[in-house]
Amino acid sequence: MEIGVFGHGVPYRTLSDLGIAPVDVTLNRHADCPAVASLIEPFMDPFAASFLNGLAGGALDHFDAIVMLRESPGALHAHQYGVEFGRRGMLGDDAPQLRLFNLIASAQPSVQRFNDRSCADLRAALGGPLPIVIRGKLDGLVRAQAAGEFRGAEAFDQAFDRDGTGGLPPAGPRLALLGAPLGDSALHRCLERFGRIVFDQQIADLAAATDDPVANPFGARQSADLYLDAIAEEFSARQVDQVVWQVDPQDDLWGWLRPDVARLAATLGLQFLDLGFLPRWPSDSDLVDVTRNLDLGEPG
Amino acid sequence: MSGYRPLGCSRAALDYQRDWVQSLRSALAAGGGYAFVNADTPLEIFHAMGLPVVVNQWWSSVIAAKQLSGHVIDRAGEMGFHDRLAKYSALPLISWLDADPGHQPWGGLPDPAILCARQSADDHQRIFQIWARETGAPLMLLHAPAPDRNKPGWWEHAREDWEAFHGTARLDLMQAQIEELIDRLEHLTGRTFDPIAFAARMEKIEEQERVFEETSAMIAAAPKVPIRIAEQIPNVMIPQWHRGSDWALDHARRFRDAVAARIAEGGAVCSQERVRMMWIGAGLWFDTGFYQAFEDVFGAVFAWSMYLPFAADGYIRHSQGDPLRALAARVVSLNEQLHQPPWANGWLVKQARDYRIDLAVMLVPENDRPSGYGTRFIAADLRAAGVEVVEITADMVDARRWDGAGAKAAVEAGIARVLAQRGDA
Repeated sequence: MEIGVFGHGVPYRTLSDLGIAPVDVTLNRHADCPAVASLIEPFMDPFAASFLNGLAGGALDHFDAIVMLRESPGALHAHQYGVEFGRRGMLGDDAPQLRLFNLIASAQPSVQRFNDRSCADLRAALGGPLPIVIRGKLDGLVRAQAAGEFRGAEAFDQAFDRDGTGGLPPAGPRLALLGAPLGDSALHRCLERFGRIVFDQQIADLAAATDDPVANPFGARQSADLYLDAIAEEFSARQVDQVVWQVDPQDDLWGWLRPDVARLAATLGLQFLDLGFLPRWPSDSDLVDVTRNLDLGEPG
Repeated sequence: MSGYRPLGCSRAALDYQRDWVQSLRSALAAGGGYAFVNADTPLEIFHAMGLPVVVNQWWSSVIAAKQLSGHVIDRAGEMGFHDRLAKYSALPLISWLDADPGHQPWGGLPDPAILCARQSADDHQRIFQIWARETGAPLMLLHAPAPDRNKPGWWEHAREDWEAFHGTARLDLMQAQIEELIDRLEHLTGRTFDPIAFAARMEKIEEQERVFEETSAMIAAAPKVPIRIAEQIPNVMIPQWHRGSDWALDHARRFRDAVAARIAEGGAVCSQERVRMMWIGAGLWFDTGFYQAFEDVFGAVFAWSMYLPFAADGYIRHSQGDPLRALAARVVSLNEQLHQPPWANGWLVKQARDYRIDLAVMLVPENDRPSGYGTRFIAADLRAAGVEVVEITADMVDARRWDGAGAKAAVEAGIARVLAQRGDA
């Protein structure tokens, strides 16, 4: 059975324990599918919108099922819209089954009981023999990036199984890239003309979710207020010089953290650069202003 | 031209709310505590524990109604919050952070004793975590796992068959969290939760919502719309905020009886009624006069807003001897039923048929995604059901970009299409 997963911060170890080794389809970019494009609001989460177009267009037909991570922003709506498309007869016969997976980031006993049942249900539906866990790969990647052994773009491409271009890590200020998850490493390559990315929140989210999704401080819907302390720790551990912040044009979540992150950076004496709204798969023209701001050393 | 007379009971509802606000202000000034909560949390528990509640979305609508939202939203930008973040659930937070008594209703609220929100939207915990951090108030965050399938026809199944409909795992979690909330409030207030009194309160709520259901059915069936939605809303929502109290049940009955009398005497919003409209979405809190703008010239009247019919469908959950479980069943998908497919589109088509709606005017808040999702499905299904649809991109509390003239023109064009289809231009 070929299984995909949609959502940021894939809990690979949890899924592996259930006998599920999914392929992450979250960052895949799909063209609009005319049959469903008119039913997707323009303010839909960009990854959800892309997923839905791909689903309806048949791009995901080689999967038997896709696990939809409820606790990832956009994933619930991608799931519900996908199911609704199916209910309306708008999907092909080979479209994968969509399976919502609730794994709540909370250590409360009542939540742990719920999570256990949720896992049991998912195992019963899609589970199989235990495969290899990728945990080791991510740990090594995160350490290597912090040590400057990997370009930020290369680390991103490896973490999310994209085709990378390699290359030596650049010199320059040590950058922390925060905010909303991105679809590819274009911004990373742009930033690394000016410094080296030693902390990438999106990779850290994936590593933490793989290791312990309940305690993941970078989880978008983490119920405990852990994010600021976690990034403060990372800034210190990785000797960050500059914090780079960005969100997508449809953001309704990460922007709530922006003022506190800027304040934290100021308190720590770090430069803070807010790139504003960026498409999730930015083109060269989208990055022109980024380059200009970096050239001028413009703060956020 | 309009000889519309408000119902006598409408003044009573507004007076009650005014008096309640004044008593709350006095209590807060004397150092009393209150809970600041989102609308889709179990208010019933706070009422049962005798802790006054200020509902986030109600306070947000007050800020908007007092024409303060523009200032507050501008201040949000100055604070570093970008403009595309949701406003409806965040105005009160920004207003509090602004700490400018001159731009807050009542000069502002004191710090709450406790905060409560449900994670029905992705941003709710971020907003309330800021509140908690800034005020030091404890935050009771209720989780919102979703079902794998939103089974159609929730309004038919959720009153009785809620265990099967919502699923035991989700209800177990919701009930456990409600019990945790009770525990926290017992520590906070020093009072003990009384399960017998709570059960009686829940029965009163059931009765209140059944009365609202009668009223909704009367309005739907009346030859002409007897009462404006701008008047329906406070007659419903004020009792809903105080649900389970004697006053709330009494007022629901007063409202029902007043509507019945209005219908019996042949009263109507518009004697020359030609087009019946439904308003889909939260209220346009900074411009409720918009709803009346089409009566005199077009004979087009808003017959429906969600508040009255949702009182029954959204809240009636027969206790089956377990009122805490029934409360869990009420809360577990409270907001989701109005916004997620196929729940929202299915319910709205049914409502449109019940109310004999010709034209649906749908508020699409681009920067409040949980309220905006599903609108394309809703529009498609209403059109398929023969209802004309006008979509207005606007925010329920952000008056800065409200294009009243443009919205009015869009609705007028929709009315014209309805009349043309009927050969009644």
